[in-house]
Amino acid sequence: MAARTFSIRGEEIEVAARRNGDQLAISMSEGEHHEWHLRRVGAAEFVAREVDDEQRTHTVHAVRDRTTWWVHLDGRTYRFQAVLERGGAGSAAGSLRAPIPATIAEVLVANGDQVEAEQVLLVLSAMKMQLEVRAPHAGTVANMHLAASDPVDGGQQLLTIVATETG
Amino acid sequence: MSLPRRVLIANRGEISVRIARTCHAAEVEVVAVYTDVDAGSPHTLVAGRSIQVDSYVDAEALCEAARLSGCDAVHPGYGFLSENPSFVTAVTAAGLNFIGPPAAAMEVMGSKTRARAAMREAGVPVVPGTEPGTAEELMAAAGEIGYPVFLKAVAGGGGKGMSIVTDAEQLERIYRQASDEAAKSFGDGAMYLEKLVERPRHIEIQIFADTHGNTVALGERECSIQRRHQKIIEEAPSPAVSPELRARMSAAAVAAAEAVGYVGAGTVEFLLDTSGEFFFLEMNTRLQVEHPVTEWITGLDLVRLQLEVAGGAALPPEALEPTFVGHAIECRIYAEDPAAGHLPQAGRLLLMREPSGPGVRVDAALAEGQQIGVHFDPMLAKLSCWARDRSAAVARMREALRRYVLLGVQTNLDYLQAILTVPAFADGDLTTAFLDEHMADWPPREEVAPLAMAATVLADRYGAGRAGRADARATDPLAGDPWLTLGRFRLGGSGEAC
Repeated sequence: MAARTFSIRGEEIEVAARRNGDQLAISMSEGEHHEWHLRRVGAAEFVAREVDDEQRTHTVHAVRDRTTWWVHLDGRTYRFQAVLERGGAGSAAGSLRAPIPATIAEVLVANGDQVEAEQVLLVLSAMKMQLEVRAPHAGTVANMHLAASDPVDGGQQLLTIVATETG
Repeated sequence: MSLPRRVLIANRGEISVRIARTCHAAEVEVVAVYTDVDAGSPHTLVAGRSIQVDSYVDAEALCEAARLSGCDAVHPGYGFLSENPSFVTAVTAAGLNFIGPPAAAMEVMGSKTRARAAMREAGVPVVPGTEPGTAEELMAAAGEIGYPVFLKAVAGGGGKGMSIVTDAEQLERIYRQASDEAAKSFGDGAMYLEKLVERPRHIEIQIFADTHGNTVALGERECSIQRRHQKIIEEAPSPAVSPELRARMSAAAVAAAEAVGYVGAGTVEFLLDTSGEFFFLEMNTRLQVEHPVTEWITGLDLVRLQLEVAGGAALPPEALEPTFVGHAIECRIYAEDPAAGHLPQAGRLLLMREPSGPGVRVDAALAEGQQIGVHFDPMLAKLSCWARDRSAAVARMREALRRYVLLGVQTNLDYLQAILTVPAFADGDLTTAFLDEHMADWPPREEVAPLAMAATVLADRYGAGRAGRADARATDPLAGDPWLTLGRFRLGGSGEAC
């Protein structure tokens, strides 16, 4: 089986699974193999009976949106994130993005400022939370065009820290 | 009995739905309000009739909406304008019935310093503390009260505008900043100190008063499971409250309500220390988020009682002499990532399966396809369970949480289940520091179940199962995304895409 790589809770896993009609199978890296007999019982809802001595059944819900796969099984919610090719335009080193939609509560730095690693650069406010945005490394602030009370979208670039040359 | 004829519900979400359900059952008409981001949302659909307003906190617009739609009463729900005395005044001035306490009672309880003074006078125990003062005055007073102390903003509330101070040096250091923040957030920079009650439980008494001179206590709720003063799990009765303590706390809560001329539903919050001593914290002059646990154990419908009292009726016998049966627990389900500092989460709710069964209640206003935004509070739903005793209620809650499916937005469902499995929780050994003490290491490192991984190949693209593939493709935000238009999982050599 070919595999797709996901990240879940920050860890990357390789999933090599296959569906063939009412059969579902997965092969694990250690040579472990599982198979289930499947029955669709509703929208995004399946009953899976493991093909082994115990024949235990589980209800599983699975749905996906964009590059996120959501699975609910035995009371657990799993969020699998597809691991995409690296090095795209969005991953310019040192650029900081808003983790969620928010408003800018405080701006503590300006373009050209020298900052230390872990220094607080901005404070975002979302609902009842105040979120500090810290410098990932030492460097110079650039591409900073935000002011207090500006709204920002989730994923929006906030500013860039141009790494300090060392040596 | 005279009830209001048509009620404007000046709120949104689950509480708007919950109020509307009781109104419908009582044959009281309802009118909901919504802002542009809430157009078509479940609370407007349940109400049947709704009016758009610019904001849920625009008193004038809400009164105008009530007048235009022929309402004779306004229910504020909780949050928003529910504890704003000028809203009460505006509603009353518009000739409408405000379903809640008089503005004067709200005003006293809305000011921490006035409330403390009124409580002291009424003989209700309060936490030792100071008047508002300068850093120097507070440092001098703190020496007498003894550290640790809370530095609190007079105008703060709900966990905002307070910090724990362990020594004079720290007090001097943070006073200026805390006062500036309070001035910015609440328009009032006045600060005061309060003794920090160590290892406290949060116990609150539900009270109800009518306009015929009756004020009753409807038992306690324990809300010690909280994070940064945000409640997460509540229960009734409290495992720490004996009948004797309940009687004392109830008497104090009734005295508190009577001291301010209270009418309607209200909650008097106390801190209970390990010696059984309790201190008045604040009074919430509205229906409380966690009121369902009281409804479970008393069999009362608190919204129904609110309507009756607003209509001028006396409290019925079942409220005047309440009986408590069994045990109830409520879990608040939040759109947040407990593994990432409880960061609020946004997204589209792709799939929802609510649990049901004996002793299971869901208070929510969710629909599949709904966009969960960050405009409002991140609470998605309240799940409450009742059973004959506490351990059976906990067991029922664990099973109900297991069966609650919310996919598309990260929630705290797994975190809640983990809290319920902590031995100290089962023992009823609770304090407001419970989560810090028992849940700091969550989540544990766990293997991902093989079936969960395998199930990724079963995942339909959102909308595909419902609207048909062609429609789904037309509305799919991913149309044109090369990664996905390659097809489904091309995983198995001989397998097929699902």
